[in-house]
Amino acid sequence: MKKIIRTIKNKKAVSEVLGTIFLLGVSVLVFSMLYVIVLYEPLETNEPYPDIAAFIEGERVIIEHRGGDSVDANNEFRFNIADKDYNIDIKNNLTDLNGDGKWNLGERLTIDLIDIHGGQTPYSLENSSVNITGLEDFGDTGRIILTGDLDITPRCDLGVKITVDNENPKIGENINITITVTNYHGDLDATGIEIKFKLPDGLLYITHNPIDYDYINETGIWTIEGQLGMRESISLIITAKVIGTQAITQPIQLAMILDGSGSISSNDWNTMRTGLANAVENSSVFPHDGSVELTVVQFGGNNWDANWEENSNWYRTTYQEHSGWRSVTTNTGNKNFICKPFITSDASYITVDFWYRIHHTENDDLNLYYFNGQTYNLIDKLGDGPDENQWLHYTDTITDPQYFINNFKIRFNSDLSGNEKIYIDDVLIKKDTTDLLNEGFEKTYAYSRVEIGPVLITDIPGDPGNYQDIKNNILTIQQMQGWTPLECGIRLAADQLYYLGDYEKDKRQIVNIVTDGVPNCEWLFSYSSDTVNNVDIGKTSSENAIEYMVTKLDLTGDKDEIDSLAVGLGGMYGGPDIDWLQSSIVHPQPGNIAPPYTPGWVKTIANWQEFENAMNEIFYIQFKSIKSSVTVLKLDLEDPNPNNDFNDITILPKD
Amino acid sequence: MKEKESEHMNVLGDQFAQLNYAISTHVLNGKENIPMTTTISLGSKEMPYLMSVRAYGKLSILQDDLIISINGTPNKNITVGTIEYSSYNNYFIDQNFIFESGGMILSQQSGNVMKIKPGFSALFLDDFLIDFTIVNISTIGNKDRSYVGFGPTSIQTEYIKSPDPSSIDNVSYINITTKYPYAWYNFLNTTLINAGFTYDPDPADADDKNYTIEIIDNNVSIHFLDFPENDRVILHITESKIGAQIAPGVIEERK
Repeated sequence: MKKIIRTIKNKKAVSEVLGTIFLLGVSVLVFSMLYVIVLYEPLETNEPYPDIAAFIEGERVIIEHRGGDSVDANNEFRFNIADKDYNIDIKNNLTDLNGDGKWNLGERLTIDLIDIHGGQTPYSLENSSVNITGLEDFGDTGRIILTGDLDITPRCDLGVKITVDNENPKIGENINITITVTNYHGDLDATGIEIKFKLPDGLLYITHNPIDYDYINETGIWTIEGQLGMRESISLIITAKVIGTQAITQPIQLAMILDGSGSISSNDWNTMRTGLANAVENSSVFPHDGSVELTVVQFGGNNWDANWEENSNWYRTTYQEHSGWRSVTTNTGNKNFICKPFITSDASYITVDFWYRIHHTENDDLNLYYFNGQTYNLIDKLGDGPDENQWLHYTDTITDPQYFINNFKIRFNSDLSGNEKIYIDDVLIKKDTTDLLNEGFEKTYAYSRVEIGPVLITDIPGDPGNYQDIKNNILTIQQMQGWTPLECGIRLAADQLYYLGDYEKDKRQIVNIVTDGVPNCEWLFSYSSDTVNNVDIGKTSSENAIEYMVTKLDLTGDKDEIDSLAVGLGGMYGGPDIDWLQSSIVHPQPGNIAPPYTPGWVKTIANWQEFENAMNEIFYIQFKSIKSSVTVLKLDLEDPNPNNDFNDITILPKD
Repeated sequence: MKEKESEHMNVLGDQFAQLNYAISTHVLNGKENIPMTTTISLGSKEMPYLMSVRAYGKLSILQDDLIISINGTPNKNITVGTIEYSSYNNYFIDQNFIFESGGMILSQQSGNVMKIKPGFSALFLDDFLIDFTIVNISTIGNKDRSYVGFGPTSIQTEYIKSPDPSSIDNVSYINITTKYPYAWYNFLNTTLINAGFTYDPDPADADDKNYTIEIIDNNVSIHFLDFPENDRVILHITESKIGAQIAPGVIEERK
C-alpha cells in the first residue's frame, strides 16, 4: 500500500515538472512568435519632425512652417551674424494667422536682420552668411528643428543702356552718345563700378560730359566714383564725330537663300533677281573690297531627276522595277547619268549601292565611274554580265581618300544599240551612316541648289574684280518653280558656308532668307524634300534645319545672324507666316520685326517691287552700319541679373 | 502608428513631387502624345499588432478649381483645374497635397504652404516684367477621381495643345481665387520683394510703394500702384494644358 502511495506521489511530482516545462515552452513559443511578428514591421523610434524652412526676403529672414505638427510658440531661434549671437523668441516674431498661440503650417516668423543687428544692415562685403539654429523643447533635452547658414552675400542688379541723339548722321557730323547706368535693386548701394565703352571705327572721340567723370577714351573705361543708390541712375554723354562707315576687319560670309517656288510669277522673279543683282553691284551698300563672301542658294522644284546633275536622255519607266513600280532606263547612243555633287570630305567611308538589269549588252555598254574632283575614274564594267534579264546587286565601300572631297559624284555611262536594254533602280549613296542619296525613282522632289559662290565680291584696284560678273550671273538665275522646301535651302547654305566657303568659327556669318510663302515639304536627305504639301511638317523640318545651321556654323548671338525678308501679305497661295519666321527661324532669338535691324530680324515688304530698296537698306545696315556696345565691366557686389549688363546701338551714317 | 502615418505622408510628398516633375517635363517639352504615369500611394499599411487601423486617402482632379484674373491690356481670366490628394489619417494630422498651376501646396487644418513654387517670376528692368506659366489640368475620359483606398493608384498625364503665349500690358492687378490663399500670398509676396518690387503691408500707407497684396476670403489680390517714371507692369503669360486621368485603365482620346 505504501509502495502504491509513493508511486502515486512520485507520478504527481513528475507531472508538475513536466507541466512547468510545458508551460515555459508554450510561453517561450508565444513570445517568440509575438517577437517575430512585431519585428516584422520595423518600429520607428523618432517622433515626426516639423518641416521648417528659412530664406531671405529683402532684409528679413523668413522662417516658415512647411508641414507636420505645430510647434509651441515658447521655443526660440538662435542667430549668428558676424560672430555675434542673438536669441529670438518664436512668439514675439510669429504671424499667428489663426491666433491659437502655436506655430502652424504656413505661418511665418519674420526676423528683421537690421533690428537684431543693432540697427545696421547685415549685408556687407565681409559678411556672407547668417547661421540659424532653431530649438524646440522636446522630452528632457529638447531638439534642433532647423540649423544651417543663409547666404547673405550682397547683390545688386546693375544695368546699362546706350542711346544716340542721331542714328542717321552725315559723315562729318557730331553725335552725342548717352550711356546710362542704373542700380535697379539690390541689398546695398552699388560700388566699384566700371563701364566699358570703346568708340568703334568710324567714330572719333571729341569730348565727354560731365567732363569731370573719369572716362578714358583710349581704354574706353568709365570708372564711376563713389556709390550708386538703389533705383538711382547716372549718365555720361560722349560726343563723337562721324568719320566713316563700318570698317570690316574680318571677311563676312553672306548667304542669300532665295525662295524660287511656283507662287512667284516670272515677272516677280525677274524683279527679284534684278533687285539683288543691282544691290550687289552698288558699292555704296555692298562692299567690293573682298570683305564679303557671297553664296546664293535657291529652293523650290518638283523634279524626278532633282538629284541628278547630268541626265542625257535617261528616263523613268514602269516596264521594269526592282522595288516600287519604276526604274530608269535610256535609249541607244552614248548617254550619261551623273548624280549631283555630294560633300564627302569628312567621310570615313562612302557606300555606293544599287540594282541593275541588263539585256543583250556587252562589255562597255554600261560603265560605272566615280568622280575624284578632277576626273571620272572607271570603276566597273557592268554590261558583260552573264545573268541577263534579272536584277543584279552592286555594292561598294569606298575608303580611298581621293573620293573624300566636296563634290563626289557617280556616273553611269551607257552605249546601247539595237535591242540592248539596261535598267537602274534603288541607288543608295551614303557618307558613313548618313544617306546622301536614296533614290528609287518613284517620287518627284523639291530641292535646293547653289546658284552663286561661295565667292568673294571684289573690285580691288589692280585686280580685275568680279562684281560685274557676279551681277550678271545673278541676272541669269533660272527660277525653279514647284514647291517650297525651305529646309533644303537652309541646309545647303549651311554646308556651302562650312565646307566650301572660307569658314572660320570666329568670322561673322549672315544668312538672309527671302520668301513669299510657307514651307510645305519634308526633308529627306542631302538637299532634297518629299513634296508632302503639309505646312506643319514643312515648318518643323525648317526649324530642324535652322538648328542644324546654328550648330554646324556655331552661330553666336553677338556676331552672327539669320534674318528674313518676307514678301507679300497674302495672295493666291497665302503670304509668309511672319510670326513663325520671327519666333522660330531667325537667329538669335527672340526675333524682332525690322526696323530696327537688331540681329534676328524679319523685314516685311508688301510686294516684289519693294525688293530692291529693301535689299539696299538691308545690305547697308549689315555692311555699313556702325555698331557700338557698352558693358558693365566691374562691380563690387554680385549681379543677379547679367542680362542687362550689355547694350548696343546701331548708327547708320549717310554719305 | 502616428510615426507610420507621418512616414506615409513623407512618401506621399515625394510622390507628389514626382508628379510635379512629370508635369513640368510636359510643360518644358510642349509635345503632345507623350504620356507619363506617376504612382501615388493612397494609404498606409496597418501595423500587425494591437488594434492599429489603416490610413486611407483619395486622389482627385478638380475642374475649374482655381481662377486667375488679370486686369490690364487686355484683361484676362483663366480658370484652372488642379490635382488634390486628401488623407484620412487616424493618428497623424490629416494633410492634403495639391498640384495647383505648377506649384505644389501642402494643406493641413492649421494652414497651407507652397512646397514647390509655380512658374511665376518677376524682374525689374525699365519696366516691371512678370512671367507666369499657368498649368491647367483637365480630365481625360471623366477619369477624375480615385476610389478612397490605401493601395497604390496611378495618374497619367500628357501635354495638350495649348494657347500661344501672350503679353498683358499695364497690369493693374492680379487676383487669384484659391482654397489655399496663404500659400499663394506668401509665395507671391516673397517673389515680388526679391525681384526688387517694394510694398507696404498696410495698403493705406503704400503711397511710394510698387504694390499692395492682401487676402480677402479665398482671394489673393495684388494691386500694382502708379510707378514713378511711368514704369509699367508687363505680364508674359503662358498657359500650358495638361490632360490627366486617374483610376484603373487608360482612356485614349481620338487625335
